Amino acid sequence: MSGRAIVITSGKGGVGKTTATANLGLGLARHDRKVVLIDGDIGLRNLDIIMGLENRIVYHLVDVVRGRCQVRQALVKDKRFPHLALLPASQIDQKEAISPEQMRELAAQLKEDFDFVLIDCPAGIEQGFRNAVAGADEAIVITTPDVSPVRDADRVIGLLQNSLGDPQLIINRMSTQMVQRGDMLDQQDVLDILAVNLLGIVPEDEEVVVAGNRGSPVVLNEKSQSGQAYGRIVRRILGEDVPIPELNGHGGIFHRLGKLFSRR
Amino acid sequence: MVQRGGVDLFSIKGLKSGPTFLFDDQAPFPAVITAVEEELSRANGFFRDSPVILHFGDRHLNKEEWWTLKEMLHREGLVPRYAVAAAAASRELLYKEGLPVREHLQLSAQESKKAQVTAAGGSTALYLRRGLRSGQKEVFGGEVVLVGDVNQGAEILAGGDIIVVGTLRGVVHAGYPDNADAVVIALNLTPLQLRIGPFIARADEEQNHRGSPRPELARVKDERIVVEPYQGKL
Ligand SMILES: Nc1ncnc2c1ncn2[C@@H]1O[C@H](COP(=O)(O)OP(=O)(O)O)[C@@H](O)[C@H]1O
Ligand SMILES: [Mg+2]
Repeated sequence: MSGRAIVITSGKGGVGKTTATANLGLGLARHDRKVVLIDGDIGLRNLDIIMGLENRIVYHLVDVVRGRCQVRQALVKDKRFPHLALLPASQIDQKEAISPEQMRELAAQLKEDFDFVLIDCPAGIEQGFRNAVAGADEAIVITTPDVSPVRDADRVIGLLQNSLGDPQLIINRMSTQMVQRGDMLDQQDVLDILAVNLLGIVPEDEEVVVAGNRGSPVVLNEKSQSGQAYGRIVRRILGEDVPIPELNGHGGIFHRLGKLFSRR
Repeated sequence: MVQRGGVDLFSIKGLKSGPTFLFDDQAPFPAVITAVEEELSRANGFFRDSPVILHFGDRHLNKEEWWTLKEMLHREGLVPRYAVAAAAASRELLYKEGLPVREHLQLSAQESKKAQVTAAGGSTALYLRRGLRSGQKEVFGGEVVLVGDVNQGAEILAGGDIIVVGTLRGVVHAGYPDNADAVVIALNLTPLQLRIGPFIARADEEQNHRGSPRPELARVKDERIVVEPYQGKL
């Protein structure tokens, strides 16, 4: 078997990479795919918490790379799906504890056993980012519809285009009210700037926060808006043609930005 | 700028024949080298890949000095086109080192006064068939034509005009460093900041104008940058 290794990245921190990794992982597992999630955020691990698996960790990514254990010893099996596993990050090491080359080898090894290898990328564009990207064949870039995360996403897309080609985009925490008030970029603003393929839009939803705290990601909750959005994204990743509901307002914040000089 | 008794140890002139590097011929060579390094770091890659003329004046250059300079130029991506040296010994050395040499460079009275850098290579243009994303930068001595968007966080520095067939959101500097005749044209001109020659304009956050984008042209008029609809001519 040779699975697909996908890195979930953003540039900016706190936009929802870890949440997305957990939800996509569970969503794919629910479609009976064999999935492994790699927590690439060495030193700041939290994918285990969102997944509700923190009490099962014995070994971690750095242990594997250093040869202190076998890969399968470090894999934490999910409590809901036996064919879903987590490879946790180390909480004590630095990003430099592993190299891009080691990450590439590890991902290649995991792709032999899994349909999907999802890599949760740390924020930034330094070593941690390079490691996470080195293991991947494809990338999903996630951003919120705000000016500064979009600019960071743009930077990351530029970097990814040199190695993995065009990534797919998820816009997270879209709030219809804010867009309508003109306080946020709308979908079209974001796509105009980033000019990549849209994989899906996840609405702002406090259930995401609750679910994260409970260790039970929203995709498991069929009733939540955000859970359904993740469900649709998963089906798109699997190649289904699922329409994206529009969340456009009447022109976003660019009404007020970038208008300049004395025009005659 | 490093000086010796009011004279620049190193200066760059944009002449008809191309960018010309003028080295002071009296000061100790290491001091000149330092001045060159300083000036080139200020130019921020502007002259990269341009063929340059090296003007040594009356200096008696030795081989070691030449190699130091040559290595530095190489690091900066500069390609010497030919050298001008009044001292026969220097000419012979440079000739043996494989560089074409001349005895004189005709400077017009006006040219020798103005230390202005005009577009390297005159009317050459850089054509980019792609946009620029945040963190990406293009530096070119001549005109720049780009098909795509220039996003926030991206930069273009051009000796001449900048034409963006797309949306311009990033920071561009046309007519770098001091050519106020340069213009910027974009299908949708919404930069946060725009520079032409020595002038800077910032986005006015009060103005509220979106509507459908139309091609616009920015140029310097009466010592300030103004934006006007582009109507098919300059
Ligand atoms: N769609 C959403 N609606 C509301 N809160 C969200 C949403 N997505 C993520 N969050 C919250 O944002 C915070 C940061 O998310 P996280 O996935 O840890 O980001 P990252 O991994 O990019 O740093 C978390 O508290 C998470 O619960
Ligand atoms: Mg995270």
